[in-house]
Amino acid sequence: MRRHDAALIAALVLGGCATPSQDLVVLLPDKEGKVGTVIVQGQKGKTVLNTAYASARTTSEGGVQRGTASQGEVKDVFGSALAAQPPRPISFTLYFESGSDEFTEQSKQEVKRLLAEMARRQAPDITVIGHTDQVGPDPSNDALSLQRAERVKSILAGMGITAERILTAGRGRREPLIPAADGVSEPRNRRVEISVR
Amino acid sequence: MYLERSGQRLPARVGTHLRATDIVVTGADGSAGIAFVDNSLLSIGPNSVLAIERYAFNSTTHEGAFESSLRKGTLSVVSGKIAKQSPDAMKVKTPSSILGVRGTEFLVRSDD
Repeated sequence: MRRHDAALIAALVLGGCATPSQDLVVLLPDKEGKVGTVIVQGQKGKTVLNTAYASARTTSEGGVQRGTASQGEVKDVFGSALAAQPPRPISFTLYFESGSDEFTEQSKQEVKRLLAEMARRQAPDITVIGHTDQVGPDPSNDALSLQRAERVKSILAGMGITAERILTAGRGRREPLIPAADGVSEPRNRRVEISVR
Repeated sequence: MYLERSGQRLPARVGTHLRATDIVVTGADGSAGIAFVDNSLLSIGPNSVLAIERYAFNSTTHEGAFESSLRKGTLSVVSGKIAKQSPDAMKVKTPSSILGVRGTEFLVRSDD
């Protein structure tokens, strides 16, 4: 009976060794060379990654070991995942002729560039995002910016872009292109942005 | 590559729209890239299982929550508007750790 117990314990330990769940996390610089922050929390410890190629490995004891990954290791381990990254999202900004439904001449060219970018992508989805100036309170600007986005969506759908691939959003006055004080009517902030992903 | 949605296995191809709680699975020579509406970009290499556990995004305020779980395999992440707006809103889990994502680009491998 005693021997039986010992055999069972050994089997469990071996089982544990055969599958040492070891994670590897590597922080990368972005396209501009900037580096963000990732906090890796293991069962018994944690580490903060905030430099390029900083790495964290979990140990079989539940700890987290900090190190640095080589570019070769990144390529070996993550080459396929990196190659499968979708293309980076791109934004196009459109303006209307004042008091009309017509895009400005410059924006008509921008629409052509948008369509060309969509043609380059395998499965493009877009979000049409309306923005307002800094005049008036949030609720009315949110509604107005969404209205503008909906109008642009119907124009784009009329050009043959499948409506189910177009989302709309009203960002209101939260993201001015040109910083402006409260109450300032800045035409360059009254715009519609189209984000392609 | 295929999807698991509500316990059912569905074929996935380029352009398939995902839902929160979908699980993406790749085979020995598979890979998959996913572009989320907040512009987060996730991609997985071969022999990988990625579960989208929670996804919420308010396109007006940019507030949201994004939790995914790499059950095995390799994952590349470029965070988007959710992580930029709220530093604690994006998390990536593996069977042995939890990653808090302040941004922006990183890689994860989880051995099963």
